[in-house]
Amino acid sequence: MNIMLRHFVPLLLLLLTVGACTGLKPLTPLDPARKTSVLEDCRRPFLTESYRLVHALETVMPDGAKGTAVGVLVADPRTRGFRTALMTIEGFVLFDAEAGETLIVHRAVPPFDAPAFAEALAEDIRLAFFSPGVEPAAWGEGEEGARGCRFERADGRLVEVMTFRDGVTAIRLYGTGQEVLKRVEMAPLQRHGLAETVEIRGGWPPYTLRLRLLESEALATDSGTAATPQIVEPRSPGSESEKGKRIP
Amino acid sequence: MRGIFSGRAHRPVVPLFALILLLPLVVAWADSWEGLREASRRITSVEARFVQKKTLPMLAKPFVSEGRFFYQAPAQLRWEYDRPVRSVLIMNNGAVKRYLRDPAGWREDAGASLTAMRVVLEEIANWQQGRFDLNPHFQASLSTDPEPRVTLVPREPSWGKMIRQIELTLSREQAGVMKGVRLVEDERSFTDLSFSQIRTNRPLPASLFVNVE
Repeated sequence: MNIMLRHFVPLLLLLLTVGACTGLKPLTPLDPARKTSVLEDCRRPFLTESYRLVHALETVMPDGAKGTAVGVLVADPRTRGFRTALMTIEGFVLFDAEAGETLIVHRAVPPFDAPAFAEALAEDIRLAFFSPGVEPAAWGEGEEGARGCRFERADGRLVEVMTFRDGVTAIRLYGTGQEVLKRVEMAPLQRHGLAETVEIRGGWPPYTLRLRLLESEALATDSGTAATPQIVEPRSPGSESEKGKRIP
Repeated sequence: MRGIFSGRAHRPVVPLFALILLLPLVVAWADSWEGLREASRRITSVEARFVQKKTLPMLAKPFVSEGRFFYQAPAQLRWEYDRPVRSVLIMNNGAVKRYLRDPAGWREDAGASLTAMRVVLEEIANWQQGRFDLNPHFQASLSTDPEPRVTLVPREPSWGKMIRQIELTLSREQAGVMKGVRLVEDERSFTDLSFSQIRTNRPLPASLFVNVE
């Protein structure tokens, strides 16, 4: 018995410690009068109308290797549908997919032809650009004085949107066991859904995507109007998969 | 009467006369594979500016990039983008490296796309040497109207899924020089590269093909 305890107590402590570090901490309730303001901050990171966005995209793999691509995203927050393409700086399209009710891969050059890649990328896009819901399951103050909301998803997962005092927004996707699955961090936002920089971390093996907004263009709405394209000036200087492949 | 036929103005007549005599040669360099190879053999280096326009169905207008291009015969290339994403792709006798500029400075890129770019760079080096018909994966054809143009079409369907065809537009005025490239992925997806300020056979520093800056 003593031998068993000697083995299991440290393991139990380790599990409790890890759980404490990665699990969901309760939000401290705030004055109900502040709800409108907090909820507005929770909506701010996400697109409110259809947009075409062009990002410089940096990928960091588990071994630290970095790669860069250009990402194009046409996203409609009303339908939560989007089409995205990743291409090399030289213009060679590596990946092209669209998501509506199903995810359709139009082009995928290895190593971007794995179904898991398409699914992970779609999840990243939805998490970073589309609001997780209208009414949060909880709202209040979290760690470091950050204020935000928690939204329950139909799949049992939970999305947390927190705005820190310095204006940085953190979005976290929690699994059904309250483990953090993905993290998104955005620079302070000037306009709804148009962060100049976005960092997405997640997956297993772990990866990091860093997005820098190059161009944004509001697309025509039902009323037929469209905003002028915005160009964001930079601050500093394989075989193909079957076309139209569906991923259930 | 003063003019091109009087006094010092006589001088331009000789180069003009020489140009008229040479004109058939200048026009003819791109009329045959042998003409292309012969003209390219005389090119030891190329430096040019370029504008790249990427057209995709999902883009309302082409995505435009700009930069500089350097080639030193037989197999050194530097493909440098100034905007909107600063990057340098270097091929030095078969070794390919890409560098990217971020706020912390230049860093080496190790992305998966580098393997694909190695193939592309080797192909560009072949084109610069007039060896358009060397790659067994592509069927090359040459046309002269309206402009001298080499068209490369993949022989194998698997390649055709990635690139439908490559069109290389040659300069009538500068023998051995390409002035544009179009990579066609499908009917509505293509990349246009147009070169300007093209200078040939000037000595280029060896460091261009070794160091990022």
